[in-house]
Amino acid sequence: MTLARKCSRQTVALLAALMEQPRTWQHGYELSKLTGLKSGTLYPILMRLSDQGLLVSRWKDAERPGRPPRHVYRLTATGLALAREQVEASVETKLDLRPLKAGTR
Amino acid sequence: MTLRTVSRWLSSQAIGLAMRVSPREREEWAQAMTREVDEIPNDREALRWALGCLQTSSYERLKSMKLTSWWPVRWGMALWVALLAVEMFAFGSMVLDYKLGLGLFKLPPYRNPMLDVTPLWEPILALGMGVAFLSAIVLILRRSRVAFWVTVAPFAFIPLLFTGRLRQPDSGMPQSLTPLNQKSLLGFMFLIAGLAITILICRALWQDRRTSAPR
Repeated sequence: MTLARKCSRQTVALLAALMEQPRTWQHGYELSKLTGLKSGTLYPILMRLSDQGLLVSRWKDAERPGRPPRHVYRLTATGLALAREQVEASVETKLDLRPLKAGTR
Repeated sequence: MTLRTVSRWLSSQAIGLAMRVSPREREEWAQAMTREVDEIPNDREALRWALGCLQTSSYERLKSMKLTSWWPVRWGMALWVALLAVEMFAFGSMVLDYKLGLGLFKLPPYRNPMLDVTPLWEPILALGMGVAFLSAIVLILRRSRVAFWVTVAPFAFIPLLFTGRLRQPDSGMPQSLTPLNQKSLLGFMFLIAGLAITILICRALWQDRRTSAPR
C-alpha cells in the first residue's frame, strides 16, 4: 500500500527521530531534544499520528523512584512505512532534518 | 523569592492551567505533556515546555468546541426540521383529505386537476416523511449519532416524488421548476436559501455523526 501523504517538515523530523530506533519506546522530552521541536509543536503532531494509527503510546514507570509514570511512544508498522517513505522523499528533496533551531519552526 | 523559584512557580501554574483547559478526550495527553516538566533540569527550559503545553491544551480545547454543541444552534436545527415536518404533514393530510373526500379541512367543493392526477401514494409518502422528520427532531436534540441518517432519509424519496410528477404532463411540475416560472425573484431566492440551510444542517449532522455521543 502506498501512503501518498505530504507531511510537514516538523512531522518528517519527528518521524525520522522515531524511525532511528523503531523498537525503542521514547519519551516526549527525548524526542523534543532529538528533533528540536518545542512541546507546543511536538505534542499536536504526536496526537495526530496517534489518532491516525501511526503511533502507539503507553505509560512507562519512571526510572527514578518516587517519580510518576511517563508517556512513551513508538511507531506502528504503518507508521514505520510512512516514516521510511517520508524520509526517503525528504532526502530526494534535500529537506534539512537536523534539529530545528529557534525561529525556523 | 529567587528567579529559579519564580520560574518553577510559573511552570507549575502553566501546567495546572494546561490540565484544566485540556478537553476531556485529551486528558491523557495533557498529563503526558505536563509530567515531562519534572524531567527537565533547566528552569527556563521547563517554563518554555510548560507554556508549550498550555498552548497545545488551549488549541485542543478550541478544536473540540463545536458550534453544534451550543444549544441555540441545536434548537435552531431542530426547529428547521420541524418546519419540514409541518410542510410534509400539511401536504400529505390535505391531499389525502381531497382524494379520499374525508372533509377534515372543510375545503370548498372544487376540482383541482393537479390533485386529481396525484397518485394516492404521494400523500402517504409525505406523511411518512413527516414522521421521519419528527423522529429526527428528537434525535437532533438528544445529540444522537443516527440523527444525520434519519434527517437525510426522507430526502431520498424526493426524487421519487418528482419523477411521479414529471411523468404527468398536466401536473404543471416541469414548468414550475424553471426559475422564470417563479412568481418573484424573492420567492426563488427563498427556495435556494431554504435548500442551502437544509444542506448546512445535514453537513453539521454528518460531522456530529463521527464525534458526538448522546449525553
